[in-house]
Amino acid sequence: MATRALLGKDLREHGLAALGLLLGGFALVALAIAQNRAAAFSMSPFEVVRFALITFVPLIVLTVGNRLVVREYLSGTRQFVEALPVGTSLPLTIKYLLGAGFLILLGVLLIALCTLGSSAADDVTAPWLALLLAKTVVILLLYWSIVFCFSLCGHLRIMLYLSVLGIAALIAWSPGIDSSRFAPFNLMDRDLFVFERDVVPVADMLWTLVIAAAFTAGGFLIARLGNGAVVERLAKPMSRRDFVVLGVLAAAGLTLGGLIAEDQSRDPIRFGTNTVLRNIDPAIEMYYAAEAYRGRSEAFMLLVKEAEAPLQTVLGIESLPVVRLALRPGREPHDIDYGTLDGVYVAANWMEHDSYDDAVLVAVVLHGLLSARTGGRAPFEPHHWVLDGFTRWWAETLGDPARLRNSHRDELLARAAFVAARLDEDADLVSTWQLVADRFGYPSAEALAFSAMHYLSESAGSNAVLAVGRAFLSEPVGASILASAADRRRPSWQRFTDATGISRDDFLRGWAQSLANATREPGVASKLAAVPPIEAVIDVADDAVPTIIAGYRATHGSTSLSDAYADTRCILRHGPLSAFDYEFDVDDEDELEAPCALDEQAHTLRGRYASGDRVYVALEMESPAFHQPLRLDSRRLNIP
Amino acid sequence: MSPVIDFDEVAKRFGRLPVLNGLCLQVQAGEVFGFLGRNGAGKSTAIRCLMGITTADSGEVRLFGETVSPRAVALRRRVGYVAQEQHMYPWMSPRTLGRFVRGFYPTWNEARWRELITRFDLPIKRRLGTFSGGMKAKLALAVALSTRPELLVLDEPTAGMDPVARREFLDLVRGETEREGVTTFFSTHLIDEIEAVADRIAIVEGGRSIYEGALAPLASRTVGYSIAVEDDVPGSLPGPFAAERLRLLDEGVRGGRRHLVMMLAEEEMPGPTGASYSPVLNPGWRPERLSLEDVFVALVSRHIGASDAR
Repeated sequence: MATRALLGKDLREHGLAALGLLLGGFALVALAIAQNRAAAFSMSPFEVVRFALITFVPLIVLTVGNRLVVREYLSGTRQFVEALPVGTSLPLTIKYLLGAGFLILLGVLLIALCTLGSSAADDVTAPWLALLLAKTVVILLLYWSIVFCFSLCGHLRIMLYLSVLGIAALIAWSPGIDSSRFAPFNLMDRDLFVFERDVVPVADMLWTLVIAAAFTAGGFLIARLGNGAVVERLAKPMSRRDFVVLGVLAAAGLTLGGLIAEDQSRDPIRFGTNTVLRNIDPAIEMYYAAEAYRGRSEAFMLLVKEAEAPLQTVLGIESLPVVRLALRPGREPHDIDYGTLDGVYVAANWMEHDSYDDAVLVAVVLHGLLSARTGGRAPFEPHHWVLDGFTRWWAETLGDPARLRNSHRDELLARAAFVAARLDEDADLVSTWQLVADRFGYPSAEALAFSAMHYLSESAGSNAVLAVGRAFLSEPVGASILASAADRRRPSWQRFTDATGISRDDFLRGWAQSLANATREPGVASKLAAVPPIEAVIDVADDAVPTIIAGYRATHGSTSLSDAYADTRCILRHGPLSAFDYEFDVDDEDELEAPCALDEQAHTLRGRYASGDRVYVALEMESPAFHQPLRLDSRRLNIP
Repeated sequence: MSPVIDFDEVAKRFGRLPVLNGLCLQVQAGEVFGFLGRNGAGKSTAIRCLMGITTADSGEVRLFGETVSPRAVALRRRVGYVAQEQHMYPWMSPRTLGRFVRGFYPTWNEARWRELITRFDLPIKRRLGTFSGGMKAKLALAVALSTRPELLVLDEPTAGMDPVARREFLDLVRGETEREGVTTFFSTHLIDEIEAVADRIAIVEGGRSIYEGALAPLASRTVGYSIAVEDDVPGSLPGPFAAERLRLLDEGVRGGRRHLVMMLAEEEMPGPTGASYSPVLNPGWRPERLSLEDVFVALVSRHIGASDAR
């Protein structure tokens, strides 16, 4: 009777709020699933469960704890219940079970919703769903137990939550601690939560349940200590002494955090004084490694300086971060390290560069400068194509189209035309630009973006290109959410049209036509003629040992390739993908080379990847006609 | 017949603070017992021990002849309890409160509940969050009486009420206890409340009982006298009292007169006839009229003085 009365009371008191929380959680999950579906690089909808568990579900758990426990204890209604003929533990047990039941229901429904949003690619099986559900429930029980225990600590709970959050953040982000190796953190590991199918982390789940049980027992213990006197004391408003203790602890926490941050801080990148060239305005430092490399390095530094200084003027940028260039003499010409910490840092080997390679590297430097200038906004969609196209156009022309070398132009337009020819006729080259980069590699995507700026320059004048640069690349996005929202509110094409006076459709049509026309120009045509008439074939063999098979077939019914392509190398490059469809590009660490021939099994990669792995596979050709490898095609494979 | 309530040398400390310090008292069946004491004297703690909400450090609390602590829940079903502060759920109405509470009491009488709600003039559907303190106290009394209790425990139920609400509430308590004949344990710090309802009282101070018995003898045994300060001879007494039969409760100078409050031994009293006590006084002394409140204050002051002296 008493159980029913208490249960009925809690359901009446919190039922509506629980429904609201469920619907709110559902709405957020549905939104995340829909957004995921619409994204160019989508992830498994079950990733949304993990996303929910580390973002808004803790807030839901806090709300549940606040309503079920804190409210009862802080408002004093507990005293009404404790005077009724019922033991101390029963009301608390009912609250614990109600909270746990609600959260388990939430977990089940979240998984169900994600199952509805899944596709064949997710390969939903009952054991896998059970594993996902088990991990979700264990994590929810841990959350709930912590909140349940802390909710009984009255005004101290805020401090306890902050402490737990601080400890969790320390463990999760401390470079010296690999949180993916122990429970409960590894249960939410981003690579394992969804994609682990075979190994059930029984020990980790049990350990997490033990932690949860400890917190739960702690909660019941606190409630019983001194016949409830401790809970009653904690439920009272904070005294001056409590504030002092809280202040001391907060100060200690801040000091500790500061010490850790200081411990983890690093010295900014600085070049020494030997074999270093320096330019003050614009700020450029160059490490050239040895005196033997000084002459060529000075020449390259001059190129960077000539590109950077006028760019600053035409875009109206007051100051740009320092550029640090480090010579790495042993590297391939296009093996470039690039970072934007402490200014722009680029490590490469420019000793063997010709003018095309120099332009590639200068564009990389400018790419870094404008990325930093825009507060990191420019390299993100839908601005990335402008950044890549503009920087390359500027590196090639310095704003004067007459400076564009024909050989560079032909190679870039040939690359762009090659890519455009492999896309649907109606494809919006801007909207799909990031996908083009993923499929055909950044050199070709950059060429495509360059071709857009080149077309704009030819059709509307170089001032139009500069106007686009100013509209997209000269202003940093504010650091606030409002500034970010304001930036997003103005559509990319509107920004483009405002700057150039050219509508989206006119531009896209004219650009596509210009690429088609370019293929008829002798210089571009000769470059395209150097590409064998082949297309890539990539597949996974249905074999006991997972095997990736890739090769080439003729595009126009030929049965063999002519000797004209004898010095062309065909290469398979591959690399493991994480659980997420992040931007990814293979390097040349893992590659298989084969003669460019009509052989659909030219490359066989047997046993390198295991079942369940995700792999990026690209087929590229290297030809004297092109400075950088030309990617024929690529695929993201799921190894069955 | 065993007493309904029996505190036997009950002690309770909160940390280093002693709250109950060997409390002894007994309440017999059918009595309306007044439990009187200052704020902080230990009344609420004693009641929490009685209800089994908290346990005594030593001594024993017996309810209906049974030790409370192992059987608190079962014994609480036989007790109607009105707390000092009514921490009821503000979102409930009297109707939902009744539905909730009846789940805990097999003896719940729904008809009586409805009758009491009507008699106490409480709106059945209104949220409790909108109730005044007096309405909440009446509602708590209705809940307590609807459980058909063998013992009604009232823990300073009128605290914070205005005089009109307090009077109304006390009338209800008196009416209902007389009607039902239920044993009542009424805790308060207001002596006039006790005067209105109690058969016997205990005065608790410093965690122990300093008086237990009927109210009338307490009033009649406590006498007050005063003398002008200039006429006073230090150490003199108002009359021919035997010092060993006299307890000086309070002494002080107010309005140019030295006042004494004294409790006389039973042997000094005129007897069961209830005749007033009027000894021949020494020159300059005159009797002072004492209210029950004066008596209570004097008793408690003496105890405090004794504690301080210790």
